[in-house]
Amino acid sequence: MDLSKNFFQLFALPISFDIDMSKLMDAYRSLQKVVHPDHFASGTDKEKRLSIEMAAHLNEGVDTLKKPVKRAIYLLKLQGIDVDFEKNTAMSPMFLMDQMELREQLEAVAKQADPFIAIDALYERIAVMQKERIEDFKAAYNRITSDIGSGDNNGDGNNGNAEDIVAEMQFVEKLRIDVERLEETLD
Amino acid sequence: MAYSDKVLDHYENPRNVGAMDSEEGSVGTGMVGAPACGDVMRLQIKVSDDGIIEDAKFKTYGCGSAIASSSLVTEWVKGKTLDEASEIKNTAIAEELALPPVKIHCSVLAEDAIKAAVNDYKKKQGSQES
Repeated sequence: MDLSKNFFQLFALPISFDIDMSKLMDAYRSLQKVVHPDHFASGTDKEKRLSIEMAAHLNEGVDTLKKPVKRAIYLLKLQGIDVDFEKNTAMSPMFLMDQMELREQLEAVAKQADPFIAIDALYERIAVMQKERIEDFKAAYNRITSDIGSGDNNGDGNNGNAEDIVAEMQFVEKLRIDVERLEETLD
Repeated sequence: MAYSDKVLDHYENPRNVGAMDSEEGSVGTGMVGAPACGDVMRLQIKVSDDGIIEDAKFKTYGCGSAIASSSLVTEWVKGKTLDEASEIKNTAIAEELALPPVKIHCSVLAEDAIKAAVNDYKKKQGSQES
């Protein structure tokens, strides 16, 4: 196993936002078998250390590619774009207003006659928002990669756009997690 | 992680929670968000004819530090001119609330919210004059 390969290469997947999840998991499992530290229990210290490093690398790789937001951030990183959430607070006002409204809805869920209907309505909206952003991200990512291909990567183009979309994806994901948390407290 | 007494105080008794009519000419609205934690903050200021912030309201969904930071700045901006309010630094907020390093971004969010509210107000005034 080559630690210098990127995670897509590691699992023999094309570098793309769309990935074949079953291929990823198959590749992960077969690699995991090879590097599993148990196989090196009687090996040298160097072999043991290497197998632990590789197992950790594999886990990080599968975790990065499995989750859409992490995968998007990683794709941008491979293009030399570092996403820094801490710096980016000036998000689209429309998007933030929607988020504020959704948070208000979430807060009101417990007071509803049937909170589960309210929860489902939230999940539905979140699913739509996620889908829209994934499509937007893919389009923005394609623009970046084709810009680089044509030698027009001077950094002032659409890169910010892709980062903004990833920030929104992350935002929506956090909301989804909070809806899940609330749902767990309901029953 | 333990919150400081000041954070807890603002968290348990937030000052100036609420909303103003964002359509009104004398009101500036700042909306900011922190993707890393999913926090969203709305800060509104009401500005008098002579450019003094008369009132401020906020609504924040987020952790205790984010709520405390926005609650604190609504108190701080009242009575200030727009320029004075814009000069409020996140470091002052973080220091006042004794925020730990991992929560510094909450104070950055509050600083950005003030700037966004001031800009929104100025933009409105500009478009009224023209």
